[in-house]
Amino acid sequence: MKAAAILIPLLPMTSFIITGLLGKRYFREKSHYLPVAAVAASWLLSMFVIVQVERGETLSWQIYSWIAAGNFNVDVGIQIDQLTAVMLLVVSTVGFMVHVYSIGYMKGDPGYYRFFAYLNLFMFSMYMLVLANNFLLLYVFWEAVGLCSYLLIAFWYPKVSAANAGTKAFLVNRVGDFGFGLGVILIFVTLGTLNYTAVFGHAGDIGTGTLTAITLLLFVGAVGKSAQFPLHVWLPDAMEGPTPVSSLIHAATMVNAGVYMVARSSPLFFESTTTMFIVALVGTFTAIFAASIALVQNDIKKVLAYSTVSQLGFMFAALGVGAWVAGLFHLVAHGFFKGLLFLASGSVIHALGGEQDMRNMGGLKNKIKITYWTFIIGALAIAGFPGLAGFFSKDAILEQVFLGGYWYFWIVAITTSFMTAFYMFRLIFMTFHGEPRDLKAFGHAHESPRVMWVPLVVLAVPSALIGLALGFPPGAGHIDSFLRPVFEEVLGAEHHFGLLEGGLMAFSALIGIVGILAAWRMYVIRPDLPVKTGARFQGAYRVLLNKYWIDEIYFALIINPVRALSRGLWRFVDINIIDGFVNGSALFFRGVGNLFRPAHSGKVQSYLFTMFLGLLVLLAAYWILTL
Amino acid sequence: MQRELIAVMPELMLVGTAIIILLIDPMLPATGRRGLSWLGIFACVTAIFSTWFVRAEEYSSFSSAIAIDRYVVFFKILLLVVAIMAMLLSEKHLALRGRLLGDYYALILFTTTGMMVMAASIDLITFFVGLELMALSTYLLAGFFRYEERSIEAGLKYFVTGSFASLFLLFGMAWLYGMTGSTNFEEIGDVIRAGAVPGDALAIAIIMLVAGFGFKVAAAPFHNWAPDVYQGAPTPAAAFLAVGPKIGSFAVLIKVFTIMLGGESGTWLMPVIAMSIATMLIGATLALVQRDLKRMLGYSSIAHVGYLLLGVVAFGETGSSFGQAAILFYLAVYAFMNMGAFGVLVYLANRTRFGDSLDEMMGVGRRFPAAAAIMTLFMLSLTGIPPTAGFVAKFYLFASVVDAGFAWLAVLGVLFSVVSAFFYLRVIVYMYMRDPEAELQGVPAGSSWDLNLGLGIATAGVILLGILPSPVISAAQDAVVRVLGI
Repeated sequence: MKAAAILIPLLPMTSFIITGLLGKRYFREKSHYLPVAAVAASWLLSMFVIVQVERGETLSWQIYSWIAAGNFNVDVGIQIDQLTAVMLLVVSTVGFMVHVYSIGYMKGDPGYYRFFAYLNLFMFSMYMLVLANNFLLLYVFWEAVGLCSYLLIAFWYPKVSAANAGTKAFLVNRVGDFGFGLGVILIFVTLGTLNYTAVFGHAGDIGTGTLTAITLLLFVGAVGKSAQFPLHVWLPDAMEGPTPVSSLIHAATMVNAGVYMVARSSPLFFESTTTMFIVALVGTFTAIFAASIALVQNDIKKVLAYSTVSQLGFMFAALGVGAWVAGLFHLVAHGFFKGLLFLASGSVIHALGGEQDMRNMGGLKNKIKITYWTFIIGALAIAGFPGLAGFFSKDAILEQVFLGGYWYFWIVAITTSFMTAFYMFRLIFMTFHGEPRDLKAFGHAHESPRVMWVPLVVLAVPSALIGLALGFPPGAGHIDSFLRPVFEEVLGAEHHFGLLEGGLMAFSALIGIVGILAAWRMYVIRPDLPVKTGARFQGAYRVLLNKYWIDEIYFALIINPVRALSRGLWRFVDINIIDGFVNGSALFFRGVGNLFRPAHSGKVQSYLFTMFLGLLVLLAAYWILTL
Repeated sequence: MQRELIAVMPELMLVGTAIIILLIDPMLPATGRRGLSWLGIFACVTAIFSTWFVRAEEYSSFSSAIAIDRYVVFFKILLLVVAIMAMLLSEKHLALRGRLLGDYYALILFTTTGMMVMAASIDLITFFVGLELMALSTYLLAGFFRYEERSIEAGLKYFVTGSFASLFLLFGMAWLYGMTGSTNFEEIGDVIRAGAVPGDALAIAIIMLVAGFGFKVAAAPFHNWAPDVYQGAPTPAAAFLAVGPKIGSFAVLIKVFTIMLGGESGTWLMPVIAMSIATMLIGATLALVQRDLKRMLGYSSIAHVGYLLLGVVAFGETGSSFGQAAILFYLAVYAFMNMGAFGVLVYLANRTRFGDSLDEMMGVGRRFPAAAAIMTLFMLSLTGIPPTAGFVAKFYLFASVVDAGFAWLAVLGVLFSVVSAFFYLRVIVYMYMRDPEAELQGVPAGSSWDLNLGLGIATAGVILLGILPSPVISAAQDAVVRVLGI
């Protein structure tokens, strides 16, 4: 098990180094051989580890002591338990499929070797993130997956929008990491250790105030990485990256890191009711907020991006109400079907030669049949169609939100469910049904090569079946018993599936189907309706189309003021004011000025003056304070 | 006598070598001067060995003018490594500008000697002598390209403002001596602790010292000179100036504020807090608007001084060794990442007609992949991204601040480091993601392997202190716990 555990991340790392160094010169169009082989081997090893965990074997292994100095001790180690296993399942499977898919999608790209090298680096970092056994290591790879994400978002950097999107992702994530970093520091200062086991063992000893502070700070990190309101702004822009990247990093794995971190820290979060409520609140709000934006977007990837933000909101809502297992179950299901949806959308984009605007699509269902049917499976899964993955996982969340007494969150969430079904099928109908709107692109449209459609089919299987496999019967499925050891102390008693639960389940299934039918009516039966509705509710439509102007608000409230501040400080304090003072007191400094005029050092006087002023301020401050 | 000589052996080696360099320099043909840097480096390496030789000893010598202990050994070795890197970065650059003269290496050795004396001093007089030896040499280094107006201007500005600051320090020391009748750190500390000194007068002395140190480490509002000087000075000299004097000054600052004024933190804590906030604010925000990379690094170094002052706040409040050890480690990391970042600018200037502006970084990623890769590493380290050394240093430092009960200051510190991410990242973006309108014009200079070696040392430092920081952190903890008695 140790060997498997260490090889899982090391294989992609080795492949990254080799491909990165030699790819450009020697491998070129064969650059994918080694990376794909490496992730395939990692996938096999992950399956082996999962089976071992299933048999009840876990691993806690200190590999080496990173920092060992007096009171400052941090180890590098690996921890494998049921939670890690669940994450490995998603990361390795989607990672493997995305690698295969990329062989076709990135074919002929001048940065082919670079793409696979980055993907491998990402796989290494993501594996380490879920395998880490302490908060500092988690933070390290939290940053590392972030870096890979920026590299891949800005992969086509000659495009200005791609380079900007990478920068934006980096900076917005710094805000989240700012909270996360402080949270880790606070844990360290409070407990003197960062090891998971030790920290969670002492969770009860921390004062309530400190605990709330720690968990809120950690949650700020999760909000950044998992693109929750108000830090969600980077994820839609991240769609500038190649579509396999959107699928792997920005749907199935990295954006889940926030959910994983909160779930991992459940002993801490559980102790703070304030934080738990905030987590649920932010999650629920983000869910409906992002879903409402997704209703009117026209870029196929943007719809999916906002959908991801919304679904991550669902997961946080689950964690916040204490439905730990349901949240993770949804993470797994979502990882598969959203990964699938992104890859399928990539197949559509590929078929149309790069077109992403759904207004120029339509009628594709007979032209790209495999893509169409896998897309349908993914969409039905996310819409919560009975029997598919999303039906069980989302329903588990809704049910526990309701039973937990959070009926107000439940109303929001069920409304979001309706929106989800609606926007997903709006996407399907606009893309695949009706008349082709761009005949030229339509004429060239073709099914993707086998190397691209096979991953779609593979991912469609868990998207359809994983709900039944892991989540049936509801509340007592395999995943419940599997994850129970991890959340032993924070989970309530098992509850039985009764009439109320059955009713809730039927109702949410109904809501999903109504959403699909509504989209059917608006986009297939009466294609004139969307325009009319848009015109009638013009105000609301514009608000949604412009994404509530969040970006603009940030520019007005934060970015421009900071720019103005630095410019102001620069022009004003360092040049104008001081120089003004100096000119005003020219008499005083004339002697000095004449002395150094030959050296063009007009500023020296003002420097001396500032220093003198600074000294006076310090003295005056002391005098005032001691009065 | 023998022990006393052993204590100053490293300094004697450096001064002796400097004099030899000055003597033989005029006799050498222009091509022969290449060897001078190796003479200087050799002196530094032997000085490191002779410092290492006394690492376990603890005694004071020359009538309690200087001390030998773990603290001093830590700083001396760090300063010598910095000097070696500075000399490695310089040779080719000076040769290309026709200023490959022995004086330059002599000045670096003199500066280093001054800083080592400062670090070893336990007496106001020794401290001031070391300080002035360092300061006078650095003015000359800043103005070393005497055919370039910018360089002369930098030297002169540094000289004028630096003299002003020396004045503050000297004034504060005179007051202390006048009130306590001693120049020895510990004796002054004893008199102050005995309560035999009038509070207001002591406060004036302390504020003078704070202002003087504030200038030497470039803390706001005494920072103005720094960007100008780094911009104007020859780039390898700027690398040295941005690192060495700060390390030397912090070495004394910690001693003065612990041994001498440890009990008086009530007086100096508030000014230092205010200064650290102002310094971080000025450094981080003004770096945002710089288009000249040397100025940008200048403001960035100001921001780092702001973080370091947070460490001073931490140990001032608690008296625990956490903050001091964090400062020592941070200084070591700072040395490697800053020397490295400036070093890459030297490299580019040697290979092309690079003029230090941000726009000229466009396309560097493609033309000089290795230089761009390590520049990326240094920028990430300056930002504090793991697993670079900058991350461990920041984590350790901010943890000490939180530990001292100043969580809000740590929040500010982390916040400013978020702001600073923007301008560090911009360098990376320009190198890799912007295509130049016109390629940088090359000169037939080519690379030099001592520059590459210098960059290699900096790179290794940034990586090793990030992955295996324990030995240096332990050394730092050992240095402060054993010596400062806390």
